[in-house]
Amino acid sequence: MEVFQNIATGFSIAITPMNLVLCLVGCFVGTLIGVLPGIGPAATIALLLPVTFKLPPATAIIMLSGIFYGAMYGGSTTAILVNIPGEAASAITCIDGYQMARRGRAGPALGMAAFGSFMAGTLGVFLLMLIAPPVAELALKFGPPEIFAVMVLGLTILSYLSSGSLIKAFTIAIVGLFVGMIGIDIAGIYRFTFGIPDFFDGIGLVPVLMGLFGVAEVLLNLEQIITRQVFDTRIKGLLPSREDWKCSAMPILRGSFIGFFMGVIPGPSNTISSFVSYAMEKRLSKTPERFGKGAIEGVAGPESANNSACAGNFIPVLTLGIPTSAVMAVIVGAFIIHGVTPGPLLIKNNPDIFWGTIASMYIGNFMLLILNLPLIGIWVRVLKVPYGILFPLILLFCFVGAYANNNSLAELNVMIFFGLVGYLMKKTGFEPAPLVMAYILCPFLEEAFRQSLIKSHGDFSIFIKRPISAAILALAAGIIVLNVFSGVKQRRKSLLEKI
Amino acid sequence: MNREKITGIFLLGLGLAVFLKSLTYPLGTFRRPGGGLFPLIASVLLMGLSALLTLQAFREKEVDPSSQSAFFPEKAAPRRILLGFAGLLAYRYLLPVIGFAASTAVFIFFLSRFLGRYSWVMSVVFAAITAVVSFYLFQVWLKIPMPRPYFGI
Repeated sequence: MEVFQNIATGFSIAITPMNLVLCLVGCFVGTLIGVLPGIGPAATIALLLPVTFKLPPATAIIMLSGIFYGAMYGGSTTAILVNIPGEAASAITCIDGYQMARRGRAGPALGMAAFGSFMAGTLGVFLLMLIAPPVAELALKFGPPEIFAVMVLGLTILSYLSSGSLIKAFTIAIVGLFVGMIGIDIAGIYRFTFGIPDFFDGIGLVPVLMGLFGVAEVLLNLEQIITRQVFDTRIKGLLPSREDWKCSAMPILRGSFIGFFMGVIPGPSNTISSFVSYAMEKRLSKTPERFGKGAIEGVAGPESANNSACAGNFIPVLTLGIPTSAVMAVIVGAFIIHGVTPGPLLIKNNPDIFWGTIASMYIGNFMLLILNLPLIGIWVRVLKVPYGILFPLILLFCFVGAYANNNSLAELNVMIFFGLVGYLMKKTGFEPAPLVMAYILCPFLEEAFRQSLIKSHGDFSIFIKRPISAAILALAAGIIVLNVFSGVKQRRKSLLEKI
Repeated sequence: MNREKITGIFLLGLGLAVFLKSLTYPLGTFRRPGGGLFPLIASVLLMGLSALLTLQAFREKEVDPSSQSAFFPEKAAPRRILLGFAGLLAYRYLLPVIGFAASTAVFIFFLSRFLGRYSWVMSVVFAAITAVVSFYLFQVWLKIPMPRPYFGI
């Protein structure tokens, strides 16, 4: 089998001492920022990007991806012990994880979260390894209309899945498109730059992210004087019992598949897939009343889903060159800085990067299991840092990250502006995710749109005349049309309320 | 005027502004689309959607529950939010004047004294440690080229 031969080469790259050490560094930093609420993987990767300049590209990508999936491990610790999500993707774990901790079962909850993450992470990487190469082959046949259709479908699904009103989700996605249009367009025209030179290259992703997620989040928290209570018992018995395993085996398996395939869809799929997994486990359970009162399935399923979603996230980047989440947008930036173009040709042209990274993910997941079980004590101590100390540091981190992106003070203005925007959006019921996704996809979307029209000599029917793009667009239209009927609308609402 | 109506009208205005602005860019033809076409289509979509939002808000049939709650959860909130923003803006404008280490110290002190409610001594110590550590971490070790201060270190 060709795959095994390739992965063997991958391992030979991943186990060189430097790659092993930097994989460990990535996983460690990932767990740390996962444990700390308010600092996300996208921001961290952006901040550490300059450190990787002198490294070979494969090593850089290995370390940066370690931060990403490491954060998913760390997030659950905070959710279980403090009842606040360390990462957005762990929000749902709070419900049953914290209840387990209150009932003296913090150990098994943490243990199952780590084991579930490990198994799902490994399974996710395995699926990524099998699926990415053939999808890349297929993607070579995609023309601009198909790529346009895929992105429209992605944005539609994302809007459909974000909480609150569907119209609001679409509206804010279009506002995101406007943000993405700022700068020089593909034909060299200055658009919406207001004559400010710093805007000519477009609005930087990092300041937008730091503003919308970092600053806005801190401001929301600042409204009240918060006292956090770390669950203060000795954590004992990290190994789940046989009974726990029986309850969790299927949720972990289902969560892995949900996570992986939702990971392919644009948006914060780590978060969304964990919600979907929770809702599914609750529905399938014979004893749904246990959920919310410390059911271990409610920890195992979502924590597995958010980990395998990390692997799924890599599919669109490695096969189409399109980032489908904020983290992936930063990783695409890392690829480009190192002179590698992500896309359908990546696997063929840079097999060392592709297979080396895949192999390192197997190793990284194993490292994370050790970092998060025997060494759990470190993270508990990190958690005891009070918020009064933490929030100035989070803001400082956002500040430096936004500045270091381009070493420009204008980026800081952008960050503060988007902090205000993000705060007001939360207050008026708009989700930040569709805005960010539309903003990231905007240049790709517009290019595909314009190239399609050039290709068809101005005939809009090109989008529906080609079978693949027609089918994808029909699916997107179907989602919107279905929602007009009140029955489905109610169902969506109840689905979103339940989770 | 409730929040929903203001949001709807604001977004309608935004759509209109983008619409008018994109008319000033070359629209091209459908055969050779120019830089103005895509924003134009997007702004028309935004105007449509925000008109729908505004209409909903005025009919008040389907009110989003998130906008039902009070804008600020408690009385001290607006003051704390303003202080937070003031701190960020001050940091941004002090940075090029007194340099990274000094402005970081001021920023951290301000936040922990006035928002974190720590004592003067605690805040000073915390600010000093953070400033020194972050100076060595970011400026010396990670070599982020911080703006050259007019005076200070």
